[in-house]
Amino acid sequence: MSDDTEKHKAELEKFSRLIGRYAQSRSLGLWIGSAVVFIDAMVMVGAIELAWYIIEKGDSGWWVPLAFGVLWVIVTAVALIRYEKKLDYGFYDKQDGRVEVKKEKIPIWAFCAFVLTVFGPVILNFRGFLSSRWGLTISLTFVGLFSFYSSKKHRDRAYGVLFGGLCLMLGTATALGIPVPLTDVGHQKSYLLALFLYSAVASLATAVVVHIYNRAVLRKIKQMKLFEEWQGSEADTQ
Amino acid sequence: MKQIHSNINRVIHEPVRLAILKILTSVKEVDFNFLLTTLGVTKGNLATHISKLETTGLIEVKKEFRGKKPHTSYRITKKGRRQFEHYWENLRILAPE
Repeated sequence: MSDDTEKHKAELEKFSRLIGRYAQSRSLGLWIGSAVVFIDAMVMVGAIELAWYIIEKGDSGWWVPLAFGVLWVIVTAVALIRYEKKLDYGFYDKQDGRVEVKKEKIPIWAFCAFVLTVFGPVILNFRGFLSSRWGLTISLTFVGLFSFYSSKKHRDRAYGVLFGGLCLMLGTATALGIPVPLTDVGHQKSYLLALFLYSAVASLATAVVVHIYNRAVLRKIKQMKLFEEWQGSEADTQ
Repeated sequence: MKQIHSNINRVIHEPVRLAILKILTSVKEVDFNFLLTTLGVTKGNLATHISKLETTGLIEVKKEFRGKKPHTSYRITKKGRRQFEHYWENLRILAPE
């Protein structure tokens, strides 16, 4: 091909790559979801601790903070799902327009493997068969691996790779002996709240970074000004 | 050479339409606003190009209601994908290195 045509084709390829990156890095919806999970985990910690405090004092009504905590989690989860559904998961649509990428379905067996490998150790830990340190390491490792896998299937690479990487890092840190937080809430000896907290914080940080990246990619797309140069040689006479 | 010239698809051989088709080959579907944001052309200009692509059957238009608001999205057709590939092949033959 001639130099000009080759140049235009290369520009178009670059443009298409940027569009792909932009479409696969829209993370605002996840930002809100992560924040809600983080707040929910904190409310549950407070509720369990308060219930335990009331039990230790010998007073009645220990179930009130627990009921409040559970109700809070249910209400916020439903509100979040309804809110995201109302926006059709399109947090960028109004401003930038809607784009849908070609997604592949995640098979049921992958979901089953995820639940088994992430929550299986939680049950083993609760039963006293597995320490919190190794339980959390296993759970975080599989959350990270599932994130890599699902992001490849759902074309959501920026978020999936960063979140998965953060989970693996947190898992490694735990394996190396960093103390597991929130394992003694309500004297229950479980790392479930720590798992939620770590996941929510990692997800929150990832969503913010990916959103900043998304805006940078969009700026680059707008700066390309693909047609200014082309228009000189191509009039729209069609 | 004349034959190859006539094989160049004049509908595709226009920068904005070429870019629209390129976007549509890399994603599943987009709406008008998205094309407006990424291409940086005027509304009228974009609407004309889209209409041209639609009438020649290179893209398909999906009109629906999202809540109470009408929403239009676009995706490339099989014919559009095929002709887009042919376009580059013909261009390669027409303008070799």
